[in-house]
Amino acid sequence: MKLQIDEVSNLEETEIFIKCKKIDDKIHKISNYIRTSYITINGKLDGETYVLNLDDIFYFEAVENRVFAYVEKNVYEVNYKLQELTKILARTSFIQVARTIILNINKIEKVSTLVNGRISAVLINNERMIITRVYARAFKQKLNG
Amino acid sequence: MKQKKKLPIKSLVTNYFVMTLTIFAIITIIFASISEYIYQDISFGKNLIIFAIISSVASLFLLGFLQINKISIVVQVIVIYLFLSAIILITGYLLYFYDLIYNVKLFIATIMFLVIGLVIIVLISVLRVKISNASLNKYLKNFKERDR
Repeated sequence: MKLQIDEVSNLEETEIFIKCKKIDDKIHKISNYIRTSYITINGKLDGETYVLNLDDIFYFEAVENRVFAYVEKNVYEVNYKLQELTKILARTSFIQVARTIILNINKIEKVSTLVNGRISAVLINNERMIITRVYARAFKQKLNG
Repeated sequence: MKQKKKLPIKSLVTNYFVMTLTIFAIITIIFASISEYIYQDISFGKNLIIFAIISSVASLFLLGFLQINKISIVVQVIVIYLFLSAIILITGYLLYFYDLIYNVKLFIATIMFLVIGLVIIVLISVLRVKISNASLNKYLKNFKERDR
């Protein structure tokens, strides 16, 4: 495998190209890592602003026009709208699972189907989430890759 | 990290009417069939009002019950089936379709069909849930491994 890094000082945005014969699991991992590395989410807690690591976020929830990021122990307010987050996180492990919730699939321990086409997801912190019927199909498609 | 659960009123009302119509259709079809095959008569127009009242009350219970997310799908299916069976039996009793003195056979036949239906529905539900959950969790595992 060859790795080539060119430093171009007048470039407006960093561009990363991967040339491969076939997109396999390794390429997937590399591309996911690159995508998530360039996404920074700032969260506010007690007046302080923190840079949140995407991997630590369990889910985002919109409550009365404010959006909160839930990590294991804290809840941070973020400056994005839920629709904006849906776009930003489209190609990451995050997916909208309800009208007000964007969930990190990597934080799901197990899933089970419910009546009415809903899906119940138990997170690694034992919290339970309901993936509503409207979003269940997209969720299954994302899991299938 | 508690999730606020709010169901929009529009969706709630739609679900209620869909459920009422479904129960109404089930009761009507069952008693129309009984009337036709046993009594050779399907003229029970005034009873439709009773069906509609029973359907709307039963829908309220089912709508509330379906909001409980902590119950497994199999238990939900069993409870809904038993509830609908009870509704059918009560309706039949109120409308004198089931006469426990002169027409015990029809009552016993209904009970038997309901029990057979319950066994079939439980088996199908258990199988479906197992297959569906296994495949979903397999995809989840694959996704996490791919993303790691």
